[in-house]
Order: sequence, then C-alpha cells, then structure tokens
Amino acid sequence: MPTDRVTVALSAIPNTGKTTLFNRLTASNQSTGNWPGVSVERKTGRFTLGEYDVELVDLPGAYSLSPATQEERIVARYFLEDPPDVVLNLLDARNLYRGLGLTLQMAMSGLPMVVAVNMMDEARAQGLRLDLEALAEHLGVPVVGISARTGEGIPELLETLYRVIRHPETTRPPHLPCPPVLEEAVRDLTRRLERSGVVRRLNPAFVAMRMLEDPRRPESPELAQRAADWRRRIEALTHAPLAVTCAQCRFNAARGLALEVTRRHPPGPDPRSEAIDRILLHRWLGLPAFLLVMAGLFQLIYGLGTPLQDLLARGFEAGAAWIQAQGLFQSLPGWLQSFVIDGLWQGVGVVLSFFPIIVLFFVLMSLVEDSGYMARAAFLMDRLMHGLGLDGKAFINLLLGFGCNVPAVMGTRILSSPYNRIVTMLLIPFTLCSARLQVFVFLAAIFFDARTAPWVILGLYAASFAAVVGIGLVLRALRLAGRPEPFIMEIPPYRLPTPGTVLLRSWQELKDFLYRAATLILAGVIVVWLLTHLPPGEPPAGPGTWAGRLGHLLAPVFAPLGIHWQETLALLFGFIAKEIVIGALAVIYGTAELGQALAAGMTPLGALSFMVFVLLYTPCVATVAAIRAESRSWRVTLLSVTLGLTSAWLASLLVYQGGRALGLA
Amino acid sequence: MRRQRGDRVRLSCPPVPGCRCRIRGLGRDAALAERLSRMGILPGMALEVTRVAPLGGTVELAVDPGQRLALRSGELAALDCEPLVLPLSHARLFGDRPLRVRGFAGGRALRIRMGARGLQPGTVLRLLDGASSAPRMVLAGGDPLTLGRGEARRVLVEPADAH
Repeated sequence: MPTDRVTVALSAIPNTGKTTLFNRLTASNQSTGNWPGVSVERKTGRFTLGEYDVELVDLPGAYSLSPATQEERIVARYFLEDPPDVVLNLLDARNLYRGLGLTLQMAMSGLPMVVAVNMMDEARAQGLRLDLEALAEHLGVPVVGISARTGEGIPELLETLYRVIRHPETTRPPHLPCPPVLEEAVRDLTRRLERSGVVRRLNPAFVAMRMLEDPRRPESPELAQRAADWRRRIEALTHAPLAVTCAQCRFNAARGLALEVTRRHPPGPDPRSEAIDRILLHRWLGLPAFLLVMAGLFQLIYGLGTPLQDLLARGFEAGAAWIQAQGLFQSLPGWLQSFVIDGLWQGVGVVLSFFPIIVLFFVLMSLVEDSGYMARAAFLMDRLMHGLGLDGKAFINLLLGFGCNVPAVMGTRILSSPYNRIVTMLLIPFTLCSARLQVFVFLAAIFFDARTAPWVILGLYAASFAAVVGIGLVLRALRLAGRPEPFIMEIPPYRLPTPGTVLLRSWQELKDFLYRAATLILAGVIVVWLLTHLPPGEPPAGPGTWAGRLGHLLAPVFAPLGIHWQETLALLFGFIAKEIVIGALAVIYGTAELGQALAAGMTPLGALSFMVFVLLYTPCVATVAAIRAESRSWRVTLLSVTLGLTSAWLASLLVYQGGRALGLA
Repeated sequence: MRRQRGDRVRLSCPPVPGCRCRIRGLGRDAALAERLSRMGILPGMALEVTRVAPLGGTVELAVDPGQRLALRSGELAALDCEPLVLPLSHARLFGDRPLRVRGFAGGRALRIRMGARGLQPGTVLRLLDGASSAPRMVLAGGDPLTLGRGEARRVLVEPADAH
C-alpha cells in the first residue's frame, strides 16, 4: 500500500519534451488547477513508486528562475515558498548548453535532484555521443538518459527517482564563478539569512540569489533593503542588468560542462528540419503553404465538426420529444415543462454542441503545435500582428475564430505572454463566426436581392476584420491589457507528434470546458429563459414578459439604430447562441412567414444596422464562459462584453444614421 | 552609427540573410537583454541571420550551438553586434578594409556565374563605391568589377585580415 506522499517537481525549459514525459509518467491520472493569483495552468499528476504516492507537479516552461516572465516568477516563488521534495529536471540531449542554465540554477537550491536527458534516440541518430557519467559527476546529482517518446530509459529513471526519494541527499550546490561583487553580495546576504535563524531546506546562497533578483519579496524589510542596495551596486559596477550578469555566470559554466560531456558533435542544426523549412519558410512558397495549412485546418475542424454538431442537435430534439412524451413530464405544470425543455435541456444542448469542435480543434492544434509548425506559422505571420502588439501565433487563433469563437478563445492558452493571451481573447469575439453567418445569410436573402446579398455578406466580413484591427489598436493605445513584450521565439526542430499526447490533451481540454465553462453557460441560458417567460402567465417572449418590458425600456437606446423592440428581444436570445436570433424572431413575431413579417417592419438599412449589431455585440454565452475560464478574471470578461456592446452600438449608429444622411433609408 | 559609452562605436547586424555577427552587448533595452540572456544568448556568441520572413520585419537567427530563434528586426538592431560576415551589399559597414569572399548565399549556378567573373571563396577585393547598393569594386588582381544589386546581396564577404 503506498502510504508516503512525496512531491516531485518536473522542470524544463520550453521545447524539451516535458509534456510527453509528464504524460508518460502520470498517464490519465492528472488534474489541473491554477497557480495562486495568476491565470497560468497548474498541472499535477500522480503515480505510485514502490511505497510512495508521488505527486508530480508540472512546472511552467521557464528558461530561468530570474523573474522576467510570469512563468519564471511562478517557478521561483514555488521553489521559495513550497519547495518540492525532489526536483526532476529535464534536458534536451541535442542542446545541453541551453538547458543547463536552468539545471545549474535549480541545483543551487540544494534540493535533492534527478536530471533526465531526453531525446537520446534523436541525438544518437544525429551522431551525438554524450558522457552522462561525467555530467552526473559535475552536477553532483544522478543523470539518466531517456527518450520520453519511445519510453527508453524510463524504468531506469523511475528507479533512480525511487532511490533519491528513499535516501534524499542534499545536493552539493555547484559553484559558479561570478564577478567578485556578486559573490560578495551573495556571501553577505547568506550570512544575514543564516543569522536570522530561519531553518530551511533550501541552500541559503540560493535564497540570497533570489532575493537579489527580486528584492520585493524576501524575509524582512531590513533584508529587502540590503538586497536592493547590493543590486544597485552590482548593476553600477557591471554596467548590465543583474539578470544578465547572473545568466553570464551560469552559461559560462554551462558551456564548459556541455563541451566536456559532449563526445562527438552533431553536424550542426537538424538537417531534416532545414530541408523542410527551405520550402515551408521559403520567400515565395512560405505564405501559400501557410494558407494551405490554415485552409486545411479550418476545413477539418469545421467541415468535420459542423455535421457532427448538427447530428448532436438532432439527437437533442429527439431527446426533447421523448421527454415531452413521458407521462410524468405531461403531469407537470406548463411553465415547468417549458423550463425543463427551453431552459435546462437547451442549456445542456448548448454545452454539448461544442464538444465535436473542441475535440477536433485541439487534436489539430496539438498536431500543429507539437510538430513544430506553429513556430513557423508565427514567424511567417508576425509582421501582420506586430502593429497590434501581438505575435504571429495570435493570428492563427484569430483566424480560427472565424469558424467558432469558443475553441479559438480556449486556444489562446498556447500564446506566449499574458498580454498576448488577453488581447487575443478580447479580439476573437469580433471575428464573424459561423453562427453569425447563418443569421446574416438569412437576413441578407430577405432584405437584399440576389446580386447585392453576397456583397453585404462580404462587407460584413470586411467589417469584422476592421473591428479586429480597430479594437486591437484601441486596446494597445489604452494599455488595457498591459504592455507588449519583446518577441523572441525559439524555432524548434520538426518532430512527429505522439498520438497519446495529442488525444490526452484534447480530452483534458474537453474536461476543462465541461468543468469551467458549462455552469456559466447553463446559468446564462436559464437567465434568458427566466427573462423571457416570467412573470408566469405571459406568452413566452411576449411584450408582457420581463424581457419584453426590457425591450420597451431600451427602445430609446435602439431607436437611433433603426432596431425595434422585437429585434432587441431577439438579440437577448442571441446571447445563448447567435444563430438563435432567427428562431427567436419567429417566436416573437409569432408567425411562420418570418420573412414577410420582418420586411414589413424593417428597411434594408435597418436590417443592415441590425446585422452590424449582431456582428459586434456581446459574445455568446459560451464565448463569455470560455473567456472567463481562460482569463480567470471577471474584469477581462466584463471588458469583453462592454467592448462588444459599445462598439456594436457605435457601429450600428454610424451605419444607420450615415445611411439615412446619404438618403438610403 | 551612434557613439556609446567610451569610444566603442555601436554596431548592429543588418537584417539580411548571410550576415554573421558577434554579440558585444545585449543593448540598452533591459527587457530584451534579460530575455535573451536567460536563453543563453550572451555577449561573445556569434549569430547569423538565416532568413527574413516573407512579409519582412521578422528575422530568423542561428545562434552558436545549433539553436534557431525568431526576432524582430527592431530588436536585432538594438543588439550591439560586431559584423563578422556581411553580404557585399552591406559591406560598407566594414569600412575601407580589404575584403575576402567567404562564400555565396545561393546554389551552384550562382557559384559558377560568380566564378566566371573572378569571384570565388578566398578572392580578395576592395570596394570602390561602397555607398551604392550595386557596388563597384577592384579585385586583388586589379580587375574592376560591378555587381547587380541582387547579386551583391548573395556574395558574402569578411575583412581580409580576419581569420
């Protein structure tokens, strides 16, 4: 029976195959949460190792413990406040130098540590020979060569891990030669820390380094002051930011170490990746190839997903019919019947309807990301997004938003900085998704002749692009989401994605969506039902319901846009899902001949203004729920809804009043 | 070129494929310097521009031990770099020194075409009119030569006194 609980932290710099190893060790036994106070995912998994119940914490991919990015701050803080029992550090065999910087920093902590050198198989194929024993000797910790993809070396890794857990030895921290003033500062702070008498598992010199780098959060105000003074002195003497000086010490040691353990050098960068990139990043072929990949992605996600969604929807209608046929159901009062079918059942239906596209979206996005093409796509598209302060990856999310906003918002998780994530998820709701397209196609066919209608739709697409760019510029100018960060992106070698990792990721995203977004979606649908069916006795969506009264109340606001209360009411329904606007209009007008009824009350200009409003106004409840789940911030969620409503009102006003001024009414 | 602290002239790597530089300093943008340094990109390392994105503005770099990075040209310009190899089109950054052909950024056809005009790896030459992007030059043998702008971008040269 496993009894003892141990925490093992898995750390690695990006593109080292950390996720593959994490999945291999913990398989399906994973859970996600988030790191305290930030919107970065905290993944943990469990596995048993002899008599130990091991909790494996997947640390965010950070290049160092110096707090330059959010991920690095999280990792540094985790080490200081809640140090793990054992550190499992992962290196890429093909580029030891790059990873050793972090390894050395972690080894300084003095915590028991195991180093796994990943991708040994690929390194061998490239003709690289490594002396892992020499590496182990220099680092003073056990080193195991593995391949997380093939499973090579995993038993040995587990055995080593078991040994270290059983006999945890404090690591002898490696000594890094640094400029004298830095060493002096560390010595001084170390002395003071030791004198303060706080007994910790961490090496005091490690804590001293962290204090120098981030003087805001150490032990006492007096020490904080001391650390800040030292930092100023060091920076004045070295003429460089402290983080750079520290990196220089680490990487000097890392370079020596990497040279010493590398027995045979590989022939430069991966030749296979070079060959592929000669085409995929070619000056003329690169962009067409990118468009082809994107078109393929779009078709596979939505071309395959939409029929599946329709199938699900039909299943749900059949389910509703079945429920309505039950004796028990028929014995319920009418309002309760309506609540069950139009409220609860529909809410569940909305949640479920996203399943096919979410799964397809993440299967394909994982393929694109894990293969290494995502970085290439970002490189190709970077120039376009630069003006908005975003990087190239955001382009892909925005593009896929044109199919459905919900998975696109969930996909912002792959973006590199909080700024990128927030701005992109605020912009995605302005992309013309397929649900809105249904509304536009229906309305354009009623109000415009067959020659004009396609141009109206095209114009709406143009308006959608313009809105994304315009709102993006406004967000950048107002700094509502912080500052853009410098763009430095690694271009990893191409790699075959592992099916297990891809499927596991999609399954987890689906679970996350269910846990984090479903409640909010259901709540949204039920609120709309309540508004449109209460007080009891009123005909649903009639002028006497709360929604109807709200529509009348808001009439003065919508009058300058040429939108009547009936349409305002339909917009409320559109919050559930934008394609519902049409069905809602049919219910509100109480007629099957919706086209005639609409045409009688509305001018083409009014219809255009209405369409612009539908394009821009609040994202549907599922998108709002996804934004809330991804940003974990009500402020961002509220900002998204507000941005939508204000820009929709302004744009519709412009269209309607502008059109009237031109005499189009 | 701006003067930096002391007498050092601040140089930078032009965003053209084939340009190879040694980093002297990470520049004055602390955020950029910190991000580069934590990835192990530090003064003393060599970097080479391998590609420019089709839409421009973004470059791909090869850094010392087989690492590939994407960076914006503005950020590349912020780095203090000493050029080691430049295309002839930008060789004026080397000043008046005699230059040596290091290689060609192109296939066999380019090599043969250039060879026919007297340019091959190792050829020493001196620029006459470095200010023009279609440079005129004198080869070590004394023969004058003018290259087209496109060709000049693909002939890589280094100072003849470099090893």
